Amino acid sequence: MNSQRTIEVLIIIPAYNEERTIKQVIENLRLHGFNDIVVIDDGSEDTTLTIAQRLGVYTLHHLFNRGLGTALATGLEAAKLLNPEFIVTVDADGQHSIEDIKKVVDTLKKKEADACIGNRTAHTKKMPFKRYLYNKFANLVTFVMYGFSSADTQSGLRGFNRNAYRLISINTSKMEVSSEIIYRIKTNKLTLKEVDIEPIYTPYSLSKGQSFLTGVKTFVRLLLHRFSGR
Amino acid sequence: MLLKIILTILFSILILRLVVQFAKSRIGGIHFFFFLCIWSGAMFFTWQYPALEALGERLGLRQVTNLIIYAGLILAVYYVFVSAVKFYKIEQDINKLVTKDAINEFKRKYNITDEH
Repeated sequence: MNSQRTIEVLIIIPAYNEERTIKQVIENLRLHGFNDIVVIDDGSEDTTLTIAQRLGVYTLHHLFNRGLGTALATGLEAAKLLNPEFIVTVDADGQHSIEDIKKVVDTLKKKEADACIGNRTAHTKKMPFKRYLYNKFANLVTFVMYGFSSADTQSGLRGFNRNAYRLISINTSKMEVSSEIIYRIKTNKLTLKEVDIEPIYTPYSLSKGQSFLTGVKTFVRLLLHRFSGR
Repeated sequence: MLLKIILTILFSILILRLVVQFAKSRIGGIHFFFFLCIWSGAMFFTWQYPALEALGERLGLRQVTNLIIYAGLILAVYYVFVSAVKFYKIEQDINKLVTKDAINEFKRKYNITDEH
């Protein structure tokens, strides 16, 4: 792999125990021209890492599971080394369609914003009601904690140009990272645009979503992060 | 009566620990330190001198000892929260080490030596 060539779009996929879907996600991305892919294996106990390595993508490995936030932080650091023009974070469970990923990339290429987030709330009919409520609550909590919010703070489909991903630093470790990213975008005075996306909900992807208990833990962790001063 | 004695002793121990911790770490600041000293003293004096409790009732405080217990509970919650923030910071430091380890392996594996 030639790490010195210029990379236009780098896809970053944080993954934990995603052996069921990671191959399909990677192959689908490649089929549509996204050949520069980084998979961050967050201490998976299954064959996620092995599958990604066999497919020949960039892989990073955490010795033990630390959470989405740490995986994204590692992905950002890898991006800074590879220096692509744009990065896009994508979920490993196949929730994001290629069309939506292209929407995010096109927004960045047209220089419409420094950061772009996929907004799932435009298609609430397809979204499970619990998930919809949780997202609304998460938006409110993000606003209360950080003074900023967006229509879909918890979206896993995010894009950044080079200026943005070099400025953003992630200090949270788990699901609270989604709110922190909004905070970092705003405090670094980066422009943000949200594009409507249509998530793909499967029984598998829904099973990976957040439960009420996870939501409570995320809220507590956000509180702790806010008062940690980092 | 017995419950009041036990609670007073427990909160006294908690307050003393808080005083020592904040004096060492300076998390609470000097004003909070003095507040704790005054609060601890007031609690003991109120207990030792019923006349003070009677004064409290005349001033509109129904039960001074109950007020002290509630204040103690608030301080206990604050103490737990401060400890949780400390542990959270330690967790953040561990995460940074995990990321650093992963990046070092990444640089070795793909022969990436320059950071742009």
